[in-house]
Order: sequence, then structure tokens, then C-alpha cells
Amino acid sequence: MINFIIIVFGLTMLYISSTIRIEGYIKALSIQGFLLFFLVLLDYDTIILPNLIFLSFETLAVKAIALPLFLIYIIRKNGIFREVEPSVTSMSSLIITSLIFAAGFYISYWSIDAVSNIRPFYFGISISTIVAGIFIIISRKKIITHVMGYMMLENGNFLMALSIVKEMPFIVALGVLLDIFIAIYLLGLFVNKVQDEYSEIHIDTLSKLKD
Amino acid sequence: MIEILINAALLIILPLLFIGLINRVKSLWGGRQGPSIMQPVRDFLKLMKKGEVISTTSSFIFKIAPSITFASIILAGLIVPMAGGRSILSFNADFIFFAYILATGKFFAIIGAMDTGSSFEGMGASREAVFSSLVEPAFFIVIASIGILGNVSTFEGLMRLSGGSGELKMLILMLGAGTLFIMLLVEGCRVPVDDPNTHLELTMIHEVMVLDNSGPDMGIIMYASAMKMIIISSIIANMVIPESMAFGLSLASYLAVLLVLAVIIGTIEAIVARLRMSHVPQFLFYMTAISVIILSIIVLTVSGGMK
Repeated sequence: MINFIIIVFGLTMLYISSTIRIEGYIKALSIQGFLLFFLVLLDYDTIILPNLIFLSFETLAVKAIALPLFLIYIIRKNGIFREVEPSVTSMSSLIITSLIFAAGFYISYWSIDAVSNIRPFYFGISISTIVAGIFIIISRKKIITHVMGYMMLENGNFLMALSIVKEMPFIVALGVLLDIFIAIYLLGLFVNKVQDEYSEIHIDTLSKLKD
Repeated sequence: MIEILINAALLIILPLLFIGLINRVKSLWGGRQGPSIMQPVRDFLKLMKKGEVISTTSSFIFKIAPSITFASIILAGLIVPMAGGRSILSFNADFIFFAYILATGKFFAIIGAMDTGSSFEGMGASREAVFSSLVEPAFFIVIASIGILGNVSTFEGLMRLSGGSGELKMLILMLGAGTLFIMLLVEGCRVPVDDPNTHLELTMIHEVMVLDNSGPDMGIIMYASAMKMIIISSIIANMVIPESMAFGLSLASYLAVLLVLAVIIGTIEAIVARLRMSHVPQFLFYMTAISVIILSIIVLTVSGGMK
């Protein structure tokens, strides 16, 4: 069951890397949130209760429901529906993500002998997710996709923590949540207020900013 | 012996019925009653009775190409395990033969299309070549990974192995069946890769290659492409059917899986639009991406990494 969830998680990353619809990104992020929630539940016997409650809240309420709803609200309000001119075409993006996955699995293969308390398959997918999240931040041009790339990176981090110690330290989880909150908050501020000055929410326009 | 005879009969009877079923499902989704399931059979018989018009610009290649394509697909059909996991012919490494005999058929279809000298047919041939070359590596990765897992090298052996239980095996087979389903859509020229009913030459792939064919040649081309769908559906069916079943039960579940596949394809055709031509390679690359995941699962399993 765990392996199945992780593979679906990997498939959502492949989907994200090849789509240009922002709503597709958000739906995939929401699915990732649900998958992480199920992973936490399946590991319930190794996690202490308060932590389990917090992790369930973080994955289900925040990652799977609240943030996607807020992002959908932002894109509907501002009419941002697709990544207009990605600097990498979606075909090459898919190829690069597959290569990232292959590299991630190579690392997990290597980790079988090198590290004892690790679940290699988990580890491979989480490394790949982190790198693919960074790749999405690099290759897409809208600010909203950057934030989503960051959220994928955080999901990868979460998965990696589960793969090594089977749980994330409470304080780290809190910190990550705060980071995401700040990112989304700034995004909302930017999109809602600065939008009046720049009609396109596009990082190229930021190079023209001045006092 | 009787199993082989039944399989041979299925290989002959099923293809046109399969197409009829897909069309029927599609029309039901559209709120129409639709043509009878036997309609493709009637079309085939009608075409076999007709005469043939052959362009004067084409050479003998155009005349032999449909027959060679048809023959190669029948040969491929003999190797693929059908009901009960039994194939009619089986020898060492026959899945490589399977892939290349299909490729041979495709090669002749392509040069037959180019032989007519029509620019549309050349365009269709070029698309067919590109898409087939994207499908082939993924097919080999999937089949070879399953081969590594069980240390077998015949198609029959692969499918027997795949009948087992266990979470990992199930995972691999689900991903493998998904990959082969994309291959089914490509090889069968169905939506979202290609639209069998389109009338605009610029958007066709397979249909545009056979614009010049008529009469019996057209009939066997139609039959051959339907048979190709049955062949790939058989691989998928054998992946999902458990191996340890009596032949009768296994035959029934084989037919049930084929029915489900036809319903799924018909449904996809009714509710999904054809992909833009520039997005098709990307869709096909999903096959390779998924097969990379399959390969890594198997490598991790064999080296003891899956816990």
C-alpha cells in the first residue's frame, strides 16, 4: 500500500512537469497532500500521538485542502490560467523530470548498502521530488508557479523525513508550515495589491522594478 | 491442443467485433443507438467483394504492402499469449521477435504510403514512424523488466509470472498495464492520439496513410489494425488475469477483460478530445517515464531494497 501511494506521488510529479495549466498544478498539489496524509496514517504506530495529530492536520487540512483552495481563489480572481511562455517546453520538461527520477533511483540504489535505517524507494522518490520542485521553480516564469514549485519541494522534504526517521521533528514541521504560510501570504499580497501596476504576474516584469 | 485451436479462432473472430463494440459504446455515450456490433464485419465483407483502383504512379510496393502488413500482424498474433495464457507459437526470446515483426509490418505500411507520391500520405507516414519509435523503447523496458524479475525469456513465461500475487508484483503489473494501454491507443490509432473518424487529412495519422487503398486491400488493412488492438489487449488481459485458473474460467475472464477494455476505449473516445499533434509525443513519453519507474522498482526489488 505504501509503495502504491509513493508511486502515485511520483506520477503526480510527472504530470506537473508536463502540464501548462495552473489548475492542473493545484489539483496535483492537493492530491499530493492527501497522499502524504495517508502515508502519515499508515505509519501511525511509530509516531507519538500529539505529533500524529499535528501531522494529520498539516497534511490534510493545510496541504490538501486550505492551500489549494486559496491558490484556486487567487488564480480565478486574477484570471491566471496557464503558464504562457515556459522557458522549457513541456516535452523537454517531461524528459528532464524522467532523468531526475532515474538519477533519484540511482541514489536510492546506492543508499541500500550505504545507509541502514532508510527505505530506499521512499528515498528515491523524495530526492527526485525535491530536485524536480527546484527544476519547476527554475523553468517556469510565473510567480504563482514558483510558489507551487516551493510547495512541491516541501512535500519532497516531508517525504524524505518520513523515509529516514519515519517522522519529522515537530519544530521542523512547524517551521516549514510557517515558510509556506509566508510564501502564500506574500503571493496573495503581491497578486492582489501589486497587480494594479503590472497586468501580468511574470518574473520578467520584476527586473524593471525601481523606487 | 484444443486450447490452441480456440485461441486461433479467437484471433480470427474477435478483432472486428472489438471495433464494433468500441463504436457501439461511443455511440451510446453520444445518446445514439449506433451501428450494430457486427457492422465492421459487414464493412469488411463488402470491401472484400469490391474491385480495386490502383494509381498509375505507384509501383509494386503499393500492391504488396497491405498483404505483408497483414501477414506480419498475424505472425505477431501467433506469439502473443491469449486465453489461458497460452500462445500458439512460443520460443526463446519471442517477445523481441514480436516487437520487430510488428515493426516490419509498420515499415511496409509506411513505404506503401510513401509509394503513392501523395504529400498527405508521406506526412502520415512520417508521423507514424515518429510515434512508433517513441513507443518501442518503453515496450522493451516494461517487458524486459518483467523478464528480469522472473528470469524468463518467452512471452508465455512472462505472462505466467505476472499472474502471481504480492503487492510489488501487483504494482508492477498495474503500471505495466497502464503503459501498454497507452501503446494500445497508439497502435490502434484511437483517441487521444489519433481519431479514426476524422476527415481532415492534416490531422490524420494512420487513416491518411491508407487514403489510396481501396477494395480488398482496404479491407485487410482495416482487419489488420483491429487485430493489432486485440493482440495488445491480450497482453494487458494476461497481465491482470491470475494464472492458476481452469481454462474455461480463464477464457471467460479473458473475454471480460477485453470487454472492459473496449468500454474504456469507447468511453475515452466519447469524452476526450484528440490531443494537439505537438502534444502527442509528450503523451507517448509518459510511457517511457512510467517504465523508468517500473525498471527502478524491479532493480530495487532484485537488489533487496524494497522493504
